[in-house]
Order: sequence, then structure tokens, then C-alpha cells
Amino acid sequence: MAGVAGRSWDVVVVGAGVIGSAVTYALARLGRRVCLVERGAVAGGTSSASAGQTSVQGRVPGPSLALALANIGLLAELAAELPTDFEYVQSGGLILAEDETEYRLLRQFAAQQSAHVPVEFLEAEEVRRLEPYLNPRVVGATYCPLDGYLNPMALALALARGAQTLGAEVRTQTEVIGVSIQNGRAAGVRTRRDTLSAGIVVNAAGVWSADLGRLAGVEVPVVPRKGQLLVTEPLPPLVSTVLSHAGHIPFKEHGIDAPPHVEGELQKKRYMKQAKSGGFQGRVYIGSTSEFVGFDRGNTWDGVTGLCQYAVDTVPALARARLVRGWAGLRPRSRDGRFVIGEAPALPGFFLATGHDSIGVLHSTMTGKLLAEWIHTGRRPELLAPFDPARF
Amino acid sequence: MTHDDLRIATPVQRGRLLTILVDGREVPAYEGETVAAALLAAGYRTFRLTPRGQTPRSYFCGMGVCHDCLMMVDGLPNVRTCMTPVRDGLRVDTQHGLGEWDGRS
Amino acid sequence: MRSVECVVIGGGPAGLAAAQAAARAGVQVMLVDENAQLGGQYYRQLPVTFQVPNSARLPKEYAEGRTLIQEVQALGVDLRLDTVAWAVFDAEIVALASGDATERLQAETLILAPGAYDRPVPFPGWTLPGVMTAGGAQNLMKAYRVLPGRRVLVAGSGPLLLVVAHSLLQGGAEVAAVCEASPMRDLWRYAPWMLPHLNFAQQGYDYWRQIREAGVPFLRGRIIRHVLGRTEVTRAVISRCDEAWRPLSGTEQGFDVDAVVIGYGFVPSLELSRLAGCEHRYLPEVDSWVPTRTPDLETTLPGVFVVGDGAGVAGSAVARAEGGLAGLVVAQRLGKIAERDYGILRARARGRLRHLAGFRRVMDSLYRVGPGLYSLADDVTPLCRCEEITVGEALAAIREGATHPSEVKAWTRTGMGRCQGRMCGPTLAHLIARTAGRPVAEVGLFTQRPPTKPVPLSALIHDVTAV
Repeated sequence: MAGVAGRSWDVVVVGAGVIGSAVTYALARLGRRVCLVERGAVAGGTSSASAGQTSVQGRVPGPSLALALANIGLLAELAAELPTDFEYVQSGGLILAEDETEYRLLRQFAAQQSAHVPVEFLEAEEVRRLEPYLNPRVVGATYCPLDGYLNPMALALALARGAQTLGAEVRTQTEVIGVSIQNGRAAGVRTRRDTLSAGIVVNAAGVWSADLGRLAGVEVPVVPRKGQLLVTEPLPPLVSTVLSHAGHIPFKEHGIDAPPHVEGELQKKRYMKQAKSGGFQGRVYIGSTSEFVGFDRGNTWDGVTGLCQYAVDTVPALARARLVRGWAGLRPRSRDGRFVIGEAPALPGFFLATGHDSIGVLHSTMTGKLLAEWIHTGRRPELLAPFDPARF
Repeated sequence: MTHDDLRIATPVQRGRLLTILVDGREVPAYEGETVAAALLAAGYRTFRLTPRGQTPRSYFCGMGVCHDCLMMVDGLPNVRTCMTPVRDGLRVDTQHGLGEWDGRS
Repeated sequence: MRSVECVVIGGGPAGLAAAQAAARAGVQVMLVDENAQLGGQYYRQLPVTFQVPNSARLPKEYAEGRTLIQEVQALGVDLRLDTVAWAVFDAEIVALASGDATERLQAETLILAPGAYDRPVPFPGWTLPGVMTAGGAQNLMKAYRVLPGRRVLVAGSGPLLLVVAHSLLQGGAEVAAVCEASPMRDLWRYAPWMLPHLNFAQQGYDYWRQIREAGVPFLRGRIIRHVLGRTEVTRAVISRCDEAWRPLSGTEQGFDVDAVVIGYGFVPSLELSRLAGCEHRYLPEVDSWVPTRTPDLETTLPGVFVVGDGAGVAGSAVARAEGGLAGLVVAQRLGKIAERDYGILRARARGRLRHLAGFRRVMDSLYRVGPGLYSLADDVTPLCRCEEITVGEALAAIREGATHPSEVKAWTRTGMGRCQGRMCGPTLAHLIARTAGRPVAEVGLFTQRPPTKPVPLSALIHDVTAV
């Protein structure tokens, strides 16, 4: 996709994953002249490794949940608006309780969370009616009809294509090798072939946003957090909802006192889902691990066998299914684990849209919309306040 | 062995004659044959219909690589018939799309 | 975790020869194969329940293979059949899965002998029941004694076509024609190279003569165009092709058949060598990626060797010779052979390989894959058989900017199926090369991930690794 060498734009967005594509689309929709630059292909980075979860039920009331719910709503609009499909399914999601402690905690969680999100607590028999293949050890679960998943590659592609139909330019196979600075402000980017001038540069480079920041002299406290995933061969229906476990809920943040073995560390957050329709129909996705090993994306013995163990433990019938592939994605995790969205204090005109860790897909479209609004109006939307880079 | 099956007569003596059930019908097979070989010998061609286009597929690579020869075997979907030996009474069914799951764990 | 002096993956001619050479020298050898019996493809044995009253009537590979298998069995090699090497970690930890168990073990040395698989060639009708590969047809006829059909068209390139046609005729099938893509002109030019290998040339000639005597047309410079039928093959259409294997329109010729055997060469299986991290390079003269090896057949990873067709398709004689050399080198590495003996044996083994290389060069040149092979498909021909993605869909993605196989995969699902990209990968690389105007060597490959073959979860959850 070669463009005219060296042009002037309102905004240059670097990184065509779900975040960068969403920002580009939103800006194009507001009528801004925007160029999306990507060193590989659209969705070539973390977005193509993601399982595409869009689960809201566990989010803490406040900006986090508000953003998530707004994103869900926006996804529904975009499904009608964007030129290609991104296979969004609201399958419903179950968070499973597998012992008495988890049962008690999830009941408490459901009771208070239902004021903010449609979530109900189901007893064991109801859970089994919904998911007959679950391990009989499950004693209850919370259920939220809004939870689901989509195809993250297809989402990034749909957003990029949508942006193009609105006049944006998308330049792939184009690596940024420098950030231009004039009078202490970001003034564009340099690629191997030419210079793109713009008053605003958006760093949506995910796990590489620290590298890009360095080119601009801006420290971006984001590091890769590896997650291994597995996928089976296509199978007849086994599970219809997104399954995860009590350890996924940040009970403390919800004001619920939970013992340490339940309020799991990052390592314990496992989940699985089986795509109901679309291209991936029938496959069971099993995730995930949590490792800080730099940019290594290898699968490990422990990672693969551990996830298999988890899968068969949760749905015993999966024992007879065959594993087709393991892979790993790198989640961009910030120093405090929250998004980094906003103008870099060290460099006016240089905006960050990164740090989405494991919930990038869920928050992609709203990140795009709100950041575009900020850039367009010059005023920071209130919902983005907790994610301001100035906090570091 | 009927005169119209595709088995080559010489120079081997096959194993014991047995019966497999293909889509409910009895089909002769010889101990030691794979399900695919027995089906092809008996003139069965379509092993499965694909999920997306319902197109017929059959034995292609013969070495377990292409995964086109998949059928439901004894109630389990996605079984490579070119790698599966026959057994007396084995149930083999044409797989439609993703197949069916009887939930046995 | 157990440590094994030499783990050999693959029990075909190369793996058997490697296990034999190493074990003879006193190396502790484990030989792993995913099938129920040793032999791989070329030395595929009959099922144990089949009896052979007069083994002289069987093709010579049976006896050759049986002899080698028995020798390996007698040498006390630890045989792991029905076992898949599903991963290699840290270049030396081999992960095995068998039945309902998995185990890890440390390999002091690792010899990979994974073999090759038929080069997948998309053309209209290639997924129809009744169309099968040459390897698939040979397995069906040799091991199970079943014919692919009653009236068969054989199309492809290389000496295997003659072998397949011969097997078909022996089995009582009619062969409508044998269609060789190469022009096979000026064979006399190759005479000097063939003189030291008259036995191979003689074999080929004998097959050719039998086929001609049976009245089967042997057509050179002909390539498969499409296969017709509703639910199975009823007709196959070929046409003439130029020296680059490009079909010449207006020269189509049809045959009413009930089976089509396609054999356009083989592609090395690279999953383990790539997963382990060995360096590979693309050789345009054989249209294959192969592992980079020293003259001792060691990869860029010390202690990891690749032998046989898995390092570049060169046939069974080369496979055995390579296996023998690698087994010898490993034995020396492990201190089992006196230096002087090693020097003599290694020189002999390398000399044998050099001798065989002359013949290979002739074969590679005669049957060199023409770029036209990758232009047979039309836009609605399936490229990815598993996911039912057409050539047209892949080309649309490439034109839109997906210029690496992984990118085409992420956008279209090509390569995400159970075959793990084996059936679509080679063709996809050529489609990208052609559309993006880049050499195949620069296009790259799908990222290699575990498991190397689909494995039931039940196997992976039961760890029997020795403590």
C-alpha cells in the first residue's frame, strides 16, 4: 500500500492492531485526516494471538466497567457499520464456583454486581442445564448474557477497512524508524522511505510501544506479559458460553474479602470457549498462562500440559479431542496494570494508546472513540482520566 | 471377497474376515486392514461432508497427514480412517460437518 | 528426567539405518515412530495378520525393509511405536505422546528422520473422492492390497509414476495414461551421469517397458488440468504443458476414469527441525525448504542431525546412507568408536553419499518442478483443504497487504486446520511470491508451533516422565 511520499496529516497512528485500527477509524469518522502506519500487516502483532474475549461481568464498577459496557454497545453498532464482519458473538459467560468458598464469594459478587451489569447466580443444576459437559465438581456459577467473543484479526481488519472507506490511509509493511519533533512537539514520523508530517502522533504499538516511545524520547512503562494458548480441532458442540473461574474476579477491588488462594495471581486466570459460529466454529480455545520473559513467544512443556490438564479437568469430554496448535501472545502490561491512554507529558502531540494487557479487544473500540474525541476536541474525556500517562 | 470389490487377489493371504458397520450397513473387512482400505475396497467413496461447503471428501494422502479421511468411528468424530485398524463390529459413520458428540468422557 | 544417548525420530529407511549404525557401535538408542509398525512409507510392511506364501512375488522393498527392521529389533534398540514426538524444547528435550500418556526425555544426541509427504498441488477437482496422492495410492496397494479404482489416470512427475502405474497394472486395474509433466527431452545428455547408476536406470526402464507393453500411453509434457465428478471422480482432463509446466490451452485431452493418482514430488517434513530451532534454507532447484547441514549431516544445532527425505527428498538409497553416516557420527561423538576406525568408516559413508549424489542431481534436473504447477488452480479451487479457503480468497488477502504466510493465515484461516498447514503451505508460498513479486526464499513459512501433529488431550495430561 504505497502512498505519496511524505505527506501531511492531522494524525499518524502507529500500530495496526485492534487499538490502532480503532483509533484510526474513530478519527476518520470525525473527519480527521489520518494515516495508520504498520510495520507488518494489519493485526500482525498481539491482536492475532488473542482469543478475542469480550467479557464484562467481572469488571469493577466505575470507569473500568463503564468503558467495557460502552464498548459492548459500540461493538453492536460497528457490526452494522463496518464493511466486513468480525464474528462477534454474545454467547454469555459463566464464572464457575468449584468449592464452598468460591460458591459463597460468587453469590456475594453476583448480588452486588447485578446492580451494575445483568449478572445472576446459578445453582449447580441450572449451570448443568446450560452446560451439560461441565465437570460435576462445579457447585454454582455467575452468568452474564453480555459476555462473549469476537475474531480480533477480523475486528482490526474491519476497522482499518472502515477507516479507509472514510478516507484514512493505511500503510502496511512500513516500519517507523523515527519520531519527528519540532519546537518541543511531536511533528510526525519517519519511515525507511519517507517522512509523514502530523500534528499528532498516536503510539498504539502495543508491546512495542516502549520501543516507539524511545524514538520519541518518551518513557512508556509497558512490558510484554506472555500468555500461552491452545486450540483444539473443530468439534461438535461441547460448551456454548465462555467459561472462566472464580479466580478471575478481582474480589478485593469489588470490596469483597477473599482468601489468597481464590483471589488468584495472574497465573491462575484460566478460561475456555468454543466458537459457536463463523470461521472458527467448533474449536475450543484454552487459555492462558502468565510469564514475564521479555519477547519470547515460545510454548513450554508446563504451559501446554498445564492448559491441557485444566481443559480436561473442566470439561472431561475434551480428553478425546485433539490439540492442533499452541501459540503465545504478548500482552502489553503497564507498570500498574492499567491502560496508558493520553498525551505524554514529556512530549505534547505524542499520544499513547497502550497497556491494554489482557483486555485489549474488549476495550479497543472505546479506546479509539474516546481518544479520537480527545484529539478532536482537545479535551480529555472523563472516562479516560484514570489512564492518563501523567500518573507515572 | 466378491468379484466386484477392489481388493487385489494375490499374492497375500489376508487376515480373518470380519464385519464392520458402515452407516448401519454390514461391510466385510479383513483383520489388519485400515477402515479406509476396507471402505475403498467395498466401493465407499465419500467419507465425510465438510462443514463449510458440505463437499464430499475421502482418502487422499494415505499417511495421516491431510485429515480428509475423517469419519465417526464408534461414536467418536474426526477419526482418521487411514490410520485406524478395523475391528469386528466397529461402527463407522459418514461424518457430516463437525460430526456428533455422544458425550462419553 | 531420563537421558537417552541417541533418540531417533522416524522409523523409515533413514531412521532405521541411523538406529542400526548407532546401536551396532554400542550407543543406547531409542527409535520413535508414529505408526504401529516400523518401515515408514518406503519400507511399509504388510499388516501382521496378512500372510505371504511366496515373498518373492512381492516388490523387493518388502524384503529389504523387513531385513533392516529385524536387524534393528535384534540390536536391542528401545522401540517406541504408535508414539508421536510432539515437541522439542530447548533443542534437547524431546516430548513424546503415546496412547494416553506423555513423557519428556533428554536426548544427548537427536537424529531426526521424519521423511516427506506428497507435494500438494491444487487444481479444480483435487478434493473429489477418488483423487489421491501417489504415496497414498502406493500405501493402499502395497500395504493393504486394495486398488484406488478400476480405471486410473496417473499424473505427476518423476520415477514414482512408473512404480504406481506398475502397481496398478499388477493389481489388475486399467491405467488410462501416465502423464509426466517434464518434457524428458534429450535424455542422452544425462548418460554420463547415469553410467555409475545403471541399476537405478535399469529399474526405471523396466517399469517403463512393462507399461508400454500393456498398451498404457506414457505422455510427456502433459499436466493435470481438472477432474470432474459430482461426488466422486468420473473424468480427468490433462493438457500439454511447456518446459515450465505451464498448461497450453487448446490441447486438453479427457479420460473417463474412476480414480486419479497425483504425484508431483515430495515435500520434506520440517516440523521438528524447525521447532527445535535449526536453520533452514530454500533450494529453488528442488522447490523445497531444507535444514542446513554439515557434511556430517548435523544441523546448526549441535547434536541435532537430520537424515533422509526430511532433509531434502533424495530417495531410499540416500536415506539409508545418510542414516548410516549420522549413526556413525553420533557413535563417535559419544565416544563409542576408536578414532582411526571412525576416520575410515566416515570416509566410506561420505563417499557413498557423493556417489549417490550424482544420480540425485540427474533426477532433480530431469524432474525439476516448473512454476506452471502453481497456476493450475482457479479462484474457486480450494487452497486450504481443511478450512475450505479458496485460492481466490487467499489471493485477495495477499493483494490487500498480507504478504507473509502468517498474515494470510491470520486473515483467512488458511493453514489453521488439522493438517497444520501441510496441504496449503507450499502453494501459498508460491502464490505470495508470484503476487508480491518476491522470490519464494524470501516469502517465509508459517510459524512452527507444538504439537508437531495433532495429539489427543488425554495423552498430554498424563505425564509419565521418569523422575
